[in-house]
Amino acid sequence: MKTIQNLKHSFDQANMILYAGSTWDWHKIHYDKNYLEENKIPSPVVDGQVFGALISKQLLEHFGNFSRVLSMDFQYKSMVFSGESIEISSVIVNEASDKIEIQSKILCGDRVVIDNAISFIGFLNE
Amino acid sequence: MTKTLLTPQIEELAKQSFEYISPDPISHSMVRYYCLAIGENNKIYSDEKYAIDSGYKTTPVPPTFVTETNSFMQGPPGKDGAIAHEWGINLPGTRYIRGGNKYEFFEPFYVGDIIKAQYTIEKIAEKQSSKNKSLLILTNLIKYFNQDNVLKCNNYETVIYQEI
Repeated sequence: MKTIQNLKHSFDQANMILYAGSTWDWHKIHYDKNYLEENKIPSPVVDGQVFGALISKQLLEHFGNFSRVLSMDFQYKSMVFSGESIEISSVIVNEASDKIEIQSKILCGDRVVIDNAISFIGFLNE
Repeated sequence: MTKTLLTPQIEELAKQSFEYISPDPISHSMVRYYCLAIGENNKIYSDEKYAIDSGYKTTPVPPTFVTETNSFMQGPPGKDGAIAHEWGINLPGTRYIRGGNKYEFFEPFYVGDIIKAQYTIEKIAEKQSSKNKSLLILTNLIKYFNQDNVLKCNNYETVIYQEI
C-alpha cells in the first residue's frame, strides 16, 4: 500500500481559540475553566471536527490542486486535549480510474483518536 | 438495559426539519481565518486566478469549512457558549458524546456563496453498551445548499447520549 506523508498538528489554547472563532463554535468545553471543573473535564477539549479538516488538508496537499475530496467517513475513538499533539497517517487502499480510496488513522501518542477514516479523492481533468 | 432513552417525544423529532440561511455570504476573511486555524497555506483559497487555473470557478473554501462552521446560525450563544443547532433533547443522567461524521462533497462552496443548511434526523436508535448502559444514537443529516439551491454537501453527523 502506498503511504502519504504523515501530518502532525499540536493543539494549544491559542490555536484552539483561533479554530473556535473561525468556525463560530464557542462551546465552553473548548476553553472555559469553570465549565470544565463543573463537568469534571481535565483540560479544554479539542473540537473533533478539526480532525476531518486536517485529514482533508493532508490528502489535498498530497494529491495536488486538481484533486477533490469526494467523501470522508470517520468515527471518534477518544478525545484530544489542549497541550496534546496528533499525527495523521494515511495509506492508499484502492486506486480506481476515477477515484482513490484512502484509509487514515489519527494517534495522540499511543491513544487512537480516529482509527479508520475512509476518504475518496477524485480529480478534475487538467 | 437500565433506562429507556428513546421516548415517544424523541421519536417525534424524526419528523421535524429545520432550515437556516446565512445572513451574509462567505467572505475572503472568513476563509483566511479558517485557513489560519488549520494551518492551510494553499493559494487556491486566497488567490482567485490560481484557483481558476486549478479548475475552480472562483476562490473555493476548504471542503470541510461548511460542515464545521456555525456562521449561518443567528441569535446569541446559549448557556454553554454554543450557537449550534439543537434538537432540544434533554436527557438527565446522560453524557453527550460525538460519534462521527460522514461527509459527501458534490461541489465546492465558493467565496460569495450564501449557505443554507437543512437539518433532519436520519436515524435514531437505542442500544446497550458492553457495561449494560443505555445509548441513544442519533444521526443528523445536514444538507448544505448555496443561494441557487444547489446541494453541495451532505453531512451525516452522529451523536451519542450515554447513560452515566
